[in-house]
Amino acid sequence: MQTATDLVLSPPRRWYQPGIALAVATFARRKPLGAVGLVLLVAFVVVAVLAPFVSPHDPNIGITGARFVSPSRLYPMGTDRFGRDQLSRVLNGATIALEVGGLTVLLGVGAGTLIGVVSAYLGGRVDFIVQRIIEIFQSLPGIIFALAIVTALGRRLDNVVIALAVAAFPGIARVVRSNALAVRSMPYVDAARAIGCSDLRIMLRHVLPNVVAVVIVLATAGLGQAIVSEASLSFLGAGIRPPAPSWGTMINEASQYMVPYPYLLLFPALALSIVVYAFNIFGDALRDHLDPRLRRSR
Amino acid sequence: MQRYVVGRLLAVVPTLLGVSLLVFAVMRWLPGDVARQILTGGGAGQGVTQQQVDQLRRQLGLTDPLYVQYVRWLWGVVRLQPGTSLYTHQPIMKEIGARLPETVELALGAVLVSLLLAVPIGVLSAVEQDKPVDYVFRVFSIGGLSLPTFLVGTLVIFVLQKYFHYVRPPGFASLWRHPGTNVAQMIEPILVLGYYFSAVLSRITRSTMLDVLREDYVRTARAKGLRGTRVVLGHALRNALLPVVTVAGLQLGALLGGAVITESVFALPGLGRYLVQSVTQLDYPVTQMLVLLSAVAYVFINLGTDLIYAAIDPRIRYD
Repeated sequence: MQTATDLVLSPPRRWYQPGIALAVATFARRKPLGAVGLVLLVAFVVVAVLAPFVSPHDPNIGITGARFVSPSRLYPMGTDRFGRDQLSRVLNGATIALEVGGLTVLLGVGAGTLIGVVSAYLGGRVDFIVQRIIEIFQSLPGIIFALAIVTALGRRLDNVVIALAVAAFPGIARVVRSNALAVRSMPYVDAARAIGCSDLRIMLRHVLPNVVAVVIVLATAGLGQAIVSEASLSFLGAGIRPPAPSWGTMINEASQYMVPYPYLLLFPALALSIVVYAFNIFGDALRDHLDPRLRRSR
Repeated sequence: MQRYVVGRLLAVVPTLLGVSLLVFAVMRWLPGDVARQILTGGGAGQGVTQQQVDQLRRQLGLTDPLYVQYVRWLWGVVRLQPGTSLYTHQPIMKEIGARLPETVELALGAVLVSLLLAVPIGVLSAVEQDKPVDYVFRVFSIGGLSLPTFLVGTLVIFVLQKYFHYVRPPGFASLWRHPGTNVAQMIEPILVLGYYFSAVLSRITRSTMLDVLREDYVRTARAKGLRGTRVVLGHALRNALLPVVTVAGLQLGALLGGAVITESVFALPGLGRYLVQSVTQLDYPVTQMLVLLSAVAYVFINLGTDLIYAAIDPRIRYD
């Protein structure tokens, strides 16, 4: 948090913040496993962003005369039943996973945080009603809800995101609310009210910054979860419409040919599990690192 | 205590009403013309006149005002007569009844496997905190969290088929009439879903055990010379089990979600797969009933664990 003296004494901001590098270094020293997760995640993001430019072939168009080619120098991960280059499909699958995961978290965690903070801060009747509504949403199994929404609205990326965000926000709103409740009873909130801050200002400047740690942890775990859910939906045949190279779709298609052509299953399965595993070990370490008290919440 | 129980029971009513309203609203708000879907069997709609569509819509009661449809549906559900499937024209309760045994067996089996795995793992990794055993189990349970059930299931099928030339008998045979076949059919799905559940559960067992092991009464027990196992199992575990049981209950309640994927992977004729089928076929009375059913199960199991909690833990006071 910045104070008046900080503002006067600190040099102008540069693009390079030594504080961030230092924080990352401390984190890596204390949580080596978490640091491994972080490195894997950075690699995942880089691959996801660059995939459309570096894939050797079009992920959705088969190469004539190249069906079911085993991994070779020309096709490092082999080709599938349509002769599509699997390396290009796995790479572009990362793009889909990041897009769906990122947008879902943005929407779901955003809405959950907003609802949680407002509900906790306003308290009383508003809080009671909001909590009942969230209970109702929570009692519907997320994947089923998502399945119904995507099937009816159409198997497009935006609909998958909406469906997964609707499934994710109640849990997030609950955790954020319980944390915001604790913050609300802090003396500095009373102090802010005493000097005449508006409710909006208190929520934005005093309550929200103090639940940010929780929100970051939830967002990390949520991103991994969203990637799993997207793959599950695609596996069930209710994700983004094929031929989009979602890892879930690829695993589903591979399941019919996996005995003669195991490499079709191997590569998308590895990609999906490494990414989700990375999110989980990173999220776990981050939770311990940012707030040891949070360890109990799982 | 009595007031608490009555209060909790009464609070269930508005929640269930809200759930039913939400389910109904979502099913109606979603686009997709059921009548046209039925007449064309999911095709593009050639050879079907608007007249036919309108007539079927009237027959299905889809032209009535929404609140009339809602009340009619809710009244049917309350009397356990939610109507008939739009596809098979069989009563929905009969269709559900035929698929219920498989899903119940999967659910109970998976929760049992999960408890049998998670409690010993959780206790051991708490006792051996930050030692090799703890790390091995941590990898095991984070693996369970990271590997989606559909992937674990596919891998199990793959390994057995490719390297052991073993293929599960398809379908589902009654546990009572064909116990041998039934076990062969259900063992893989139960283990896969149980492993997934155990991941969360063992983490919770570990963290509550860690808290309890630092309590004064554990130190007292050690100080008066009780053996280590006696302290851990008799004093600590008994007190740590409560949250574990709660989460196991919640998992049971949220099971239909897990069953959807497991049953699809293993092609089991259960409620989860029926739900996927009804969604893709726009068989909305079936979808509505199944979603409502899973929500009701969730709410009641939640209520049940809360009440058990209140009954066995004297420290908890509800006013």
